[in-house]
Amino acid sequence: MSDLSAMQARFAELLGRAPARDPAEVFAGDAASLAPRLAIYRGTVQANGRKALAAAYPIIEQLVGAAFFDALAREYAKLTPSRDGDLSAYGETFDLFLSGFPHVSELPYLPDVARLEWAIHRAHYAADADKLDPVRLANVPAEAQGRLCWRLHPACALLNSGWPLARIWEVHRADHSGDGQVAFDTRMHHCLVHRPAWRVLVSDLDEGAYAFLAAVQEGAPLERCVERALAVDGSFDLGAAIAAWIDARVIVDFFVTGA
Amino acid sequence: MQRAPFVLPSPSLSGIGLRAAHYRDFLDGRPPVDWVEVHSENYFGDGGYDLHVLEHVRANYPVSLHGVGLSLGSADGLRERHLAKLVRLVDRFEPMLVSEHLCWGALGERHFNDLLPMPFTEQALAVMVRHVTQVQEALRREILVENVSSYVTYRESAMGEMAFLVELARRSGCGLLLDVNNLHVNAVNHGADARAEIACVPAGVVGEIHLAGYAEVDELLVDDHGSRVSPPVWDLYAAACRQLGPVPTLIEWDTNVPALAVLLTEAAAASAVRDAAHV
Repeated sequence: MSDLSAMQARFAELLGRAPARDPAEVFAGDAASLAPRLAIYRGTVQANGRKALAAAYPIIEQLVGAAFFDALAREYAKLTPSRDGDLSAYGETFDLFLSGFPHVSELPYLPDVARLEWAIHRAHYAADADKLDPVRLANVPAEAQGRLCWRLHPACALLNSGWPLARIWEVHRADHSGDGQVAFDTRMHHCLVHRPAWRVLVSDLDEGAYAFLAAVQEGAPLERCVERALAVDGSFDLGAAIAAWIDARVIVDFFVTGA
Repeated sequence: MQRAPFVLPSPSLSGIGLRAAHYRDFLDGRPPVDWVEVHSENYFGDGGYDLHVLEHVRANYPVSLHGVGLSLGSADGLRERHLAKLVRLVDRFEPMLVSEHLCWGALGERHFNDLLPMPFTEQALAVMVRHVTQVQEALRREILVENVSSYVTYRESAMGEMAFLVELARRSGCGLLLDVNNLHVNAVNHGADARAEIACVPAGVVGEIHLAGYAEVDELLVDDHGSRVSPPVWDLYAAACRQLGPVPTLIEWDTNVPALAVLLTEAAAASAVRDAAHV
């Protein structure tokens, strides 16, 4: 075998689970001496995938334990091998895999925790944004304020779940001290993934705040965002919320749409 | 196509691979090392902490960008999106050196994220020349291409790895990154002659040398970058210094990363070996 494409296709096949063909057709040596050598490559490919998945999903690994996570990584890799030379892109569909994987059905919160962790992972690599200068806001004429459209920091993500994701994240932080209990209930939980400086944070949002930021994310003007918040929470305090989000670099920019 | 010859940076430099475990050391102080190298792909994000740290480090040290995922040797072409991210990173940091490997890792949709060896054939050489040229044109500068450690060799290979790389350099205008540890690992794994490999490399073509540790697994050497540089690799390094003249040298350590002081000791040892070779 002398064609480069054919040799690489054969090498790829030999890195698969149950290679059927004799590696000695391509590589020097015999099948017996080549087996442990190809096993090194198979092991490296698998270990690199597992390492990348664990880097994106540290809470899942803590929840299921390292040994079970090994098995999850192997099963996931069979269905979803890496497609990118940058391994930080690997694992995007792990939540869907967990939803359909019968052996974790007794941990029904895993898929939502995975959704949260992927949002945190992406937030880590998202573009930077400066804090919004309040002077710019003061220059918006009163009659134009309703047409103002906010822009969220590129790291921001909104999630809702039947599980208390912000609390689950909090008790798994390396520097968390004290009570590690997570209380489950039947209500819907909303949270915000954001990056005020370099560390990614997860905050609980009440219904009004979530409705407002979801409207912002859809590109709705301020007037419409306020309506959406007040529809679910009559006590939504716009002034306080905006000030806190500007301070925490959740809201980082705005523009005013035409009348 | 005419190319300007590869220009060597200041040769009397010892550096270390910068890993996240040592970010704090480089943010809080100025560790005594001449330069640092990072894996390009770890800085492919749009923003965030890693790039923030690299900006800080770049203000204090020359930085080299070492790629592990471009898959220069893929028979089915370069991944343009990956190359575009590398271009963005090189434009932003203006590194001292940019390097990649003599290997492939991607086929079709699949990426193995490993440095898989190439056969040393005319056809493979033509593919490498085409892709290295494409990368150099996109970056508007020369790159270094590194020899890899391997656990298999191809029946079709018609020359040694360094002879292949020297010819690649001649045809594409690239420089070489000589990994002395990889030469030793391959010598043990394949019965190759590491000194003969070094002897076929002309002075002036090598822009950087890598040193690292390996592990021994069932009579095979595995290039795990997880320990100190071994005595036979120091001996080979001294031979390389005598043959090639002083070349910027990097200590790589990727698994079981120790305290920074250990890496600095290894970098200082590299300087001592290099100086002794040129008395």
